Amino acid sequence: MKINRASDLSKIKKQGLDLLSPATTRITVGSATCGLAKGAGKVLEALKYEIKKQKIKAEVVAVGCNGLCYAEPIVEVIQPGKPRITYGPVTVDKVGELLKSLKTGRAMQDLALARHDEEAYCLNIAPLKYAKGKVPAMLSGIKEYRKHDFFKNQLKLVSKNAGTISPSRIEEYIALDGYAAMEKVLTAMKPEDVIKEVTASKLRGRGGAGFPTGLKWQACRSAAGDKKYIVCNGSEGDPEIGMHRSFLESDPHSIIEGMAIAGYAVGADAGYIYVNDRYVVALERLEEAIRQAEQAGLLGRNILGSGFSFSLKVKRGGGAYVCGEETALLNALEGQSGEPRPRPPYPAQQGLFGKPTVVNNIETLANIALIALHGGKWFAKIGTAASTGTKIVALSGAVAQPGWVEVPLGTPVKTIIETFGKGTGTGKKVKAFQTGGPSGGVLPASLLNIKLDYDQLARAGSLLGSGGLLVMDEGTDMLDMAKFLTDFFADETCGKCSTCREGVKRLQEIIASIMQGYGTKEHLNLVKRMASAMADTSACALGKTAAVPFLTVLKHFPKEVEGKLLKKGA
Amino acid sequence: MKPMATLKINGKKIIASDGATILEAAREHDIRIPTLCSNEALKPYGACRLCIVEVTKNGRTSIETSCTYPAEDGLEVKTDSPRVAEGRKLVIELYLARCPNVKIIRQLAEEYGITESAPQMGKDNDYCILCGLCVRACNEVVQAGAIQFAGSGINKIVDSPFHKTAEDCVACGSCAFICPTGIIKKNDLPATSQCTPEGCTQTGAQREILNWQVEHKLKECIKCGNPYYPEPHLTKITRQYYFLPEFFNICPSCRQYPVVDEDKCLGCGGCMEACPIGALELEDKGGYDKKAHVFTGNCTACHTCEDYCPMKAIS
Repeated sequence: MKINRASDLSKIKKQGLDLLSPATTRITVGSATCGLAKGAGKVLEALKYEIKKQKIKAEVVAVGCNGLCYAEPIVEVIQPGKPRITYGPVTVDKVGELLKSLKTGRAMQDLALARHDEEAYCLNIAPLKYAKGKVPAMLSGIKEYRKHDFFKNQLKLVSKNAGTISPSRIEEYIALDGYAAMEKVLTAMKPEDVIKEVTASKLRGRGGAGFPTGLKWQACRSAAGDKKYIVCNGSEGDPEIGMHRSFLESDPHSIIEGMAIAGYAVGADAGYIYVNDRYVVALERLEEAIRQAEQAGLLGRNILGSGFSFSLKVKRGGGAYVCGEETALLNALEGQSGEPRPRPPYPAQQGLFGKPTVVNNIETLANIALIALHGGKWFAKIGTAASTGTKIVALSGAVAQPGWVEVPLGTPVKTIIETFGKGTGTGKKVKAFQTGGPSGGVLPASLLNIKLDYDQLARAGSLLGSGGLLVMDEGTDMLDMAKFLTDFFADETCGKCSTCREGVKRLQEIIASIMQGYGTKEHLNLVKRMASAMADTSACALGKTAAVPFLTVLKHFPKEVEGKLLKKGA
Repeated sequence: MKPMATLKINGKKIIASDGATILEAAREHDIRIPTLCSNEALKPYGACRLCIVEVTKNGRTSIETSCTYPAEDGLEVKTDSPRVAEGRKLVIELYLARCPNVKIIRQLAEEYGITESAPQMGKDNDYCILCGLCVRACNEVVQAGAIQFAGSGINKIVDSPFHKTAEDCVACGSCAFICPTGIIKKNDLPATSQCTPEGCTQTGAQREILNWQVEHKLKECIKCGNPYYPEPHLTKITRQYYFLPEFFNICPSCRQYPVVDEDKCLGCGGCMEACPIGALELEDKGGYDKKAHVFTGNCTACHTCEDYCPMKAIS
């Protein structure tokens, strides 16, 4: 159905709400890559087959990931008038039991994770109630999500739809306030007002540098040019971080909406989404979402009768780490090799194909619709004064329950590791952690109380970055860790700047010589000298931070490294 | 674009010309900044990081490459501050560790008083400094795009596609000419003949570029018979700039354009009609006076006109 005006949008919203809390049973299977890897695809097929065979009136829907990656495959059941119940892990052999529980109305207590009485994630409308009246006694044993550790401590704004709606149904996205922000912006706001709201929200880039998004947009808007572009950075080359993938697989429409609003604000009529080619499922769902938005008239010419046109294209990237750097990404989009460009000129002045371009991270763009809908002031209240909003954090490494969570900025790292990760899971204590992906600093357990915000982490010699949180337990050899990270840079540097390319090679050699037992104090002094010179002389953030992991290991774990040095007289 | 920019380099007030970079502005005023990867004919690249300077703009100080940073109004630039010196020292040391036997690197190190790279650094014996001059010359100037960077990370190299014969290479030799270390080997081989009991085979003069596994025939001048330029490059230029196919039959040293003796010329136009390619035209000299004029850009120096001139005015 084509959406031409606001009333059409509310009609589709009603359709979507009927899908989300239907008259028949709705069974959702978490089928993002994390779930599929654990067999969600088979569970989905088995459920469909059994329902047909047993002639149960129910709908089986593939949804995204809600962050409980440790308990995949996750299956959620909504029966009319009853709360939504999250089960996990539901393997294929549990499918029969699950269907039996549908008939009896008795939940599978051992697999139940949480109970949702309502859909609280609709922000400004009354929560969508699932349970009518009292919760049946048979279900009251399951923890309500507001009392569940995992949900209680999160603030789901950006990821409010993830794991709830089907990524391939635009109606379900619209049902939970989707495209309402776009409608508001296009019909009631001037581009300048949108930028004002974003500036007032103090939103900072979620990619790495943390540049204020409002300023970036303003620079692009005031740059002269007949054609402008919005580019979504979905490169995500960090190892062990999959939250952008997970996000695209769960809620692709929010990126589309965010980009269209950004396009309206800066005066761009075309956008590119650059996604890692290895994200097969994400690409499939994103392309489908774009097709749906085009069919509905939410992308293309004269959107909602406002005269604003915006088109989107998906570009596949090779997944190089350096292509997450915005100018390297632009080079890659143009079909050149992914090497950073010299700055100035900045992308906001001369970006893609020489035109003014805004490059924003996936998570930044996902915040835009919320800010446009609820206002910058509302957003600025979340988080800390200088770092507003929430951040999706991908927990990995030595944690009992890996996955991703969304917390307000300013949450201590300790809380994240303890409440969501449930400790190291190996019985050992946390020894160190690294924030912000491979470019971040390796910080010791004594700094666990550090708060997750841009400035505190920068002062500690690390960065918020893309939001990775790698935890290391007592059994980790820190020099090994430094070697792993330096090897990563050796593979991922583009090799353009002499200091980065040669410097990383020499760092690798120095680590090797320390490991082989003939490292000396001079080796460590050279590392310190090289790290400061590399930070000064490299062109992009990759080269500037390539020595940071090793340097922070040296700083915080000196005894461990120095113990391996060549003994005097040996 | 703003017309002129006034900036300070090392405390000295300097007026930079339109659109110049800091490096260009400094060179105009004889301030030395060392470089390895910059060349006037090519776009700034910023790979060698030798040309770093300390730039203070609006109270913010940062280290930037002078070859890419535009000379803007009100900049304060220091080319030899301690921070710059420290960075540059590391760059030279890293180059020394990579290419200890390359002459320009050794000279550069000597200039900055560095004799050896730090003993803790490993040593390679590479001859390529990955400045990208050859790649950029091939892409930007020759527009052949025959060679590129290959490999990723620390194993980056300059190579022909798939490490096989570079099919787009026209053997012009620009890469070998521009290479600062001399690692690109270009050889011009004389004509040879090989005689076997089955018969003799003659090979004309050839140019080989060993790095890209390319071998191309050299064009021989129809006048002197000397090989003078690789054929594919001549074909490329002919097509690219709409030259006549005969234009490159004669080598530059044999190319003697016909000269019109205007005292003898009657302005009959016989030569004009005789010229096979229309390189001659009659030029108005005022009144009814007309004289033949040779367009050297088109003339292939075949001297057909010479035979046709009734007055022997062309020589």
